[in-house]
Amino acid sequence: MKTLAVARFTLLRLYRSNYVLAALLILGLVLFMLLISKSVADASDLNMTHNAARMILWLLAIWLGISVVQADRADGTLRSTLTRPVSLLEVMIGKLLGAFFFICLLAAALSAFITLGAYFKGTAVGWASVLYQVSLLPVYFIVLALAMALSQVTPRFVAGLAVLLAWDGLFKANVVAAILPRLPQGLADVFQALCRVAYYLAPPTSTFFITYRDFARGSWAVDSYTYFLLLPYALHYAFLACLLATWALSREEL
Amino acid sequence: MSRPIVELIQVTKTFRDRRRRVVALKEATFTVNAGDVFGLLGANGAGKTTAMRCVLGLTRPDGGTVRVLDRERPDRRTLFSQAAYLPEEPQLFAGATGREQLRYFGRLSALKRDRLKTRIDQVIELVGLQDAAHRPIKTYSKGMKQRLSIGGAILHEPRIVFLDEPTRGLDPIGRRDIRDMLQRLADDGATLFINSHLLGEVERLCNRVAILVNGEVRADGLLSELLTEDERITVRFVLPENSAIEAFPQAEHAEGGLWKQIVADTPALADLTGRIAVAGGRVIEARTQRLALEDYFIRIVREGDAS
Repeated sequence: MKTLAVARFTLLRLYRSNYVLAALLILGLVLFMLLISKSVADASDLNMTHNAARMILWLLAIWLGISVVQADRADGTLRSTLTRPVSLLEVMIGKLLGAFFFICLLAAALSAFITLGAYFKGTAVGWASVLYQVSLLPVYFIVLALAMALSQVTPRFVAGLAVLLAWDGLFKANVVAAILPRLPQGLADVFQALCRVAYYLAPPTSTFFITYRDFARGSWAVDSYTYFLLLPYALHYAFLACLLATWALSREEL
Repeated sequence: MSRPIVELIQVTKTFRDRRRRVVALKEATFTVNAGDVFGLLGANGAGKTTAMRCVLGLTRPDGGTVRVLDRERPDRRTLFSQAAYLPEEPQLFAGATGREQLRYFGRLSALKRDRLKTRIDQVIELVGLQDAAHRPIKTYSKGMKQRLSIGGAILHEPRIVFLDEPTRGLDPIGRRDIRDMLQRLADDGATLFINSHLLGEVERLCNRVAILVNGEVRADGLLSELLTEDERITVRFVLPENSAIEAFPQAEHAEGGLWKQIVADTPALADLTGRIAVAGGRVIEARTQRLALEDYFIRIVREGDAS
């Protein structure tokens, strides 16, 4: 109940924030224009729009994850929340859920924009367009959780983004391949083992993404085994993030 | 006899920055009983906020014992289910309405839906925000925000409410509103722990005070007893024209051709009236004057600074 109360209030905060509403408006407008800008309606057009939407929501999830606790800290409402009979963990889970609900609303709005745009262009999209955005929700949840955990280290969006991109980049096969030969044999083995452990503990977010084209073709079921691990990993990340945030806050004097 | 609800025993706290150590609390000891309206007084930087934060577990003391609500260092959840804290600045989300903010606080305190609705209505009436409860908090004045914060603090009917400088930055009308509201709470039997340096307000509201000087508790007890310690008796009298005023070296001229002398206690009063009678004079008035809290406070602070 208390977790839901925090989630509802977080959602209210985000909803009443003019900054985010303005961002949503611009976002929708850009996507709508992107979609109707080409004269010929085709699937590649839709693929590009969906990928753009995915990228925008990915960035927004990082921004939200980083700012959702920091904003409360800045205006003191974190203290007024924590001086109630509520545990840190309940607050953190509530914050995460509230931000996630907000992303869900944005994803729904984007999905509606894209579907509407496609409809006006005469492109038959059916439910694929909506289902694709729904399928990405656990990924946004993971990004949110990661960003929330990062926000305990850095309150800056750019720094958080840089860390996430670096994390994603580290696991690219060519990056590992480039690093390994430069290391002495013993160290290379250790590095490789560490990379493997780190990968399973906290896989980069790009692992979970799938393009709209692949999704629409149904090839995701074959190509990306990690896709099946989305939900367990979402829970795993949420647990890690909330635990880290709770630990960081418990050490802090309010 | 009422039971202690807050006990600080020999509590010390030191803050360190790069260059120096600042002793915020030095073996501070005081007690607040259930039903008390307790005022923790001190100049700016005396350690009032640190003491309150130590009681609430928001700051870890370096040493000593803190007992709140019959427990030594209760966990945050247990403590705040029976206590409420109002920091110096109202900490509210400006985009929410007053009612939404109260509903949030009530839900965090696990009030059931029906009870929550009833309590919100009661509290809004108590803090006098009936006409503003549906408006966003960003349109509130500072006094209204403070009243809403107090409303949020008492929503779950805590056993004790901690208020850190509740009237800070308010205009005289806002201060009086807050004071009246706290008086109503006190009349209803709430235990209040107020940090303040506004002595007039503390004198009107509190029955028990402690005075902090540079982190040390220099005075602690019932306000009536502390101020009685320094009671003085002012005696106004007349003397015959030919009598020797030299017999009354401490007497001063008073209005209406009278003489005035201040004595400390009843034996001194008896001695003075005897001498007046011997000199052929007459006592017109002997009035006991209780020391104002402000005078008492300044005396304690000066003594503290001198030592």
